[in-house]
Amino acid sequence: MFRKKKGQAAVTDALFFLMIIVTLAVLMFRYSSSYGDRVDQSISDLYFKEYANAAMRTIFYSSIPLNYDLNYQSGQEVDYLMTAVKHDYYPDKLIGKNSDINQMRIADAAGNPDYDDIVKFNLYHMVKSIMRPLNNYDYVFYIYDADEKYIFFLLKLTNYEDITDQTPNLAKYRKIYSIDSNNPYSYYLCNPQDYTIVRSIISKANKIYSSSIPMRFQYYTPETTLTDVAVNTTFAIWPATVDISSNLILNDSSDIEKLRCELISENLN
Amino acid sequence: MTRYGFIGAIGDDLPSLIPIFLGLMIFFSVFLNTYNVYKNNTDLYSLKTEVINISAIMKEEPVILNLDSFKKTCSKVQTKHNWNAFLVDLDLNSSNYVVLDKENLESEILKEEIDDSNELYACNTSNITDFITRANSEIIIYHYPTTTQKDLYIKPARLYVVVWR
Repeated sequence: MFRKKKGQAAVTDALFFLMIIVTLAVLMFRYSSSYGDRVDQSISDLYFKEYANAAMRTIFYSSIPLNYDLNYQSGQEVDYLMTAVKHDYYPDKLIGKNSDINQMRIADAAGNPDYDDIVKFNLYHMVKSIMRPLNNYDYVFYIYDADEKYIFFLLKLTNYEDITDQTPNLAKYRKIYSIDSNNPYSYYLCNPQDYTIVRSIISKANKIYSSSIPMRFQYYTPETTLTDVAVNTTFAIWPATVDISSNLILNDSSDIEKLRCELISENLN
Repeated sequence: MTRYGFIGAIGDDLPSLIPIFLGLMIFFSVFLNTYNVYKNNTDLYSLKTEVINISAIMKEEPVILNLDSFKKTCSKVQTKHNWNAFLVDLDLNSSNYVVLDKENLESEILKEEIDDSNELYACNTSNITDFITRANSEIIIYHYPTTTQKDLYIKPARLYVVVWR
């Protein structure tokens, strides 16, 4: 009777062996599926951090034409961007004409060129031009002085539209968004009330790559003639797919409205 | 006398060979697949790391003064991989931005007139077509903003660093 059951022991052993092999195979699949994710993420983080630094350096070293043509060859005066910014800041501690830094005007009511905001205009276009190749990232660029006052604040956001209803073939268990083809990007000049508001809004982006440079500006006062001011320039970028409650920026709502953003009109683009 | 269920010393073990062979096949195929994934990813990450390292060298100077200065920076790069770096103009008017692709690459690379001749701001002008013809999965391209000296002013530009197998 026992001779009939000799082969069963070998088959059972083989099945145990197969079970061990399958377990090993599952473990190896798990390993291979996640291998290198952290390294890849680190490299990506380093690249975007370096990009933010390079963008900041480009802003500081570039020249601007002192006209509204955005053309270096137009024959008008050309100056270093940051020199022009400091020069504009010197008389009144403002960049541009308006104390409302979210305003920018290139012509008066009669349509004649108004050069008071020319530095603000060129600074805006410089940042916009530098970030144009990286359109899938939103950003903020601001200059902030020691009096906790913003001198310049530029915000770029990508506009998404809900196309869930336009995709009937896809499962409707979630919403589907696409970049708005009519108006893909919006640029705002803002006048935040204080720094904590800015930080609380932008920190909603879980991945932020930023670069900051401290600077020293000077401004004129009748008493001392020249007064030094410590100023901080910051440039921060984050993936455009991250929502920092951008839909609330132009609508009146608690924290967001305290950014006091105004959309830059198309004729200034 | 017929003895049911008993084939022989070896014959009784023959059915057990099937799961053993099956197990060995599964193991070696999965192992091979894992090794390929490991090798491909390791190659990819070494390429990306190399691009970062080359970019750090190319971005050393805050302003690229002229073609000679650019070529001198290129000569500092020591790598075993195929690589190239080139500059493309960045218009201050972003509405004039041109998306770089394989078709317009050579025409968009920044050209500087030196003694009435156009020079490409590229570290290696001879292998540009090499990476153009390659599939996107085989090349790593990183770009950064930078500045170049043009006559009496400094203009923004895009620095592209390309590495491929």
